[in-house]
Amino acid sequence: MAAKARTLRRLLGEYRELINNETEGIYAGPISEEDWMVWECLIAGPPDTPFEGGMFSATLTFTDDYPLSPPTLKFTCDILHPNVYPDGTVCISILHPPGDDPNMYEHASERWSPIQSVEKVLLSVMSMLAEPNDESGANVDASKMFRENRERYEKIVRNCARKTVGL
Amino acid sequence: MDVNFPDPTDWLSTSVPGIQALETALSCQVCKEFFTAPVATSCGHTFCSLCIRRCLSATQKCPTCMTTDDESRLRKNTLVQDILSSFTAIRKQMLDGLVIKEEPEPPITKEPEAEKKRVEKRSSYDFDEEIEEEETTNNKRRGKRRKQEEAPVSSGGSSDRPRRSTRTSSQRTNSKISSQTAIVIDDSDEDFNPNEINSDNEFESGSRPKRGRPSRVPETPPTTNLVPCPICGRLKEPEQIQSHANRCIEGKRSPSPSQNAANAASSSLSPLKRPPISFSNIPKPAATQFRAPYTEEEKQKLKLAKGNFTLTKEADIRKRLRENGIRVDVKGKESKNAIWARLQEWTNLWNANLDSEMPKTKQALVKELETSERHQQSQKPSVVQDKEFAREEWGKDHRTEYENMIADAKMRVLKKKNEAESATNGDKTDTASEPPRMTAEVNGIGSPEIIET
Repeated sequence: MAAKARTLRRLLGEYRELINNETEGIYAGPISEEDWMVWECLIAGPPDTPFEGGMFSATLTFTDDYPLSPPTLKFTCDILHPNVYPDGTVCISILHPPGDDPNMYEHASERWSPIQSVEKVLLSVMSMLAEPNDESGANVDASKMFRENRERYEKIVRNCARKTVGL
Repeated sequence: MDVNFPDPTDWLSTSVPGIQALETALSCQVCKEFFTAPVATSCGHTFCSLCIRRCLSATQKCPTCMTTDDESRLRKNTLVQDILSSFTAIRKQMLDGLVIKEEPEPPITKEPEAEKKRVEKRSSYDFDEEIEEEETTNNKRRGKRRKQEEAPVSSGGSSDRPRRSTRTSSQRTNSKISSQTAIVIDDSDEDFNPNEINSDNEFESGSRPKRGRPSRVPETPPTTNLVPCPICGRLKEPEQIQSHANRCIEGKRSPSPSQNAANAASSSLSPLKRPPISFSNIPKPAATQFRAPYTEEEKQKLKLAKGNFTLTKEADIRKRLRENGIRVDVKGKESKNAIWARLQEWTNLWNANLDSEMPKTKQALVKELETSERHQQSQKPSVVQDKEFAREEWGKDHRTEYENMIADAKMRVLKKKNEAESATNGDKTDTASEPPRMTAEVNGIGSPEIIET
């Protein structure tokens, strides 16, 4: 149990920190007490962007060697974003381990390191929503739309945001 | 799982929330717990000995600044160890002291005993208020909290909030002195709060720091300041601990004089070394599990080198493992990768144990290695970050699996095609023949037509 116990202790600590010291717009916690390796998160759409007002749900999945390996983040709601794969998986440098750089443009300092935390990941995702990086399109169609037809992109995004809060 | 381990956020509900930053600074950023045998990297960042060794085995980079570093350049950070020892020794006391004043005052007129208590508390107020004046950086946060206090308790926020601020409680004290009615209000207040905790915070109450909350730190039980002996684990008065530890060690082996002092001073935390402890079952570390700290000469002599994967022969790895009494399968059964990983983990555990102020015996370490391996085996191996990951060997080992997967995928595509064909033949809808990319394009949003209405 040693490896798992290490991971669990760390996750438990992070969870406590999150509920005791809330960051605005970020909510995260394990889905059930049985399985601490899968968390559910809610990320508020950043203000002054088409995502404003939305509450985007996502699941965070941890590996057994967390924090050595990064977790994966997958949106469970509809979302159109250049850096989110069509299946909802988020493509962001903080979730990539150093050394694993398919596109060779990410700085090592922006990548995953054991000192990162759930809170920092979710904050990065929030800023990713505000400022998409259309050069590393995970969703090529969204990137294209973002670059060439911004109006349509924003309209769809606003609809997504509205849908997340049941409107 | 034990929720009663110290957490920096415990301080948020005290009158000096700034201690949170202090405690965070005394925690390893990898495991987010108090340092265990802190060591500094050559770039100046401090981590637990074991944490940083594991990180460096994986990437050879400092987790904080990503500069390349090597295990051999790690140096013990004694200053941090000393600060941490003194901090953990008084942590419980401080926490109790800083939260206790939130309690409404017992009325002075009731009993002489209560009056005595009140005087004691007064003195702690004075102390707190002095600190508060100095604490300018955290005023903002506290101001925010006070605002929340005044708002009706609908946010399900902190159960401690309604009685937190120093100033309010002192004002309460003053009003009590001046009039009897205030006492009544205070009493009802006191009765009301516990209910609030139960109803509003059912999920937080388990993990919320509470006054008098049992701490995992075994040397600071709530009533007295007993310290567990690092050797036998028996609880002793702090004044007696050194002589007691001396006697304990003499019973087992003759140590160098400096070790006893180190022992006594650093009976402090070693979170990775002990099982999580709830206050109800105070640890009794088996006497055989620990040994006296290593001296510098011993450390130099016993330190294990990391070695190089390609340069080390498989037979050598087996030999080194067997020498340490670690289980190795007969030749050929385990791959070089597997036994190399075992040797690396052993080296990490061993070297980190050398840095520890409360080292474990070799047998205990071997056992730890085995339990962690047994668990790893039941899980999917993670190779993401392994710098030594041998791509080709892996490919060779798993060739059949890959081939099966490819065949499987081909079969599925074929099947889909057949189905699609039969579907288009059956009726003229083009749903099945629609390329899968189309569904990917709309990204699960639903069809674009719907969105644009």
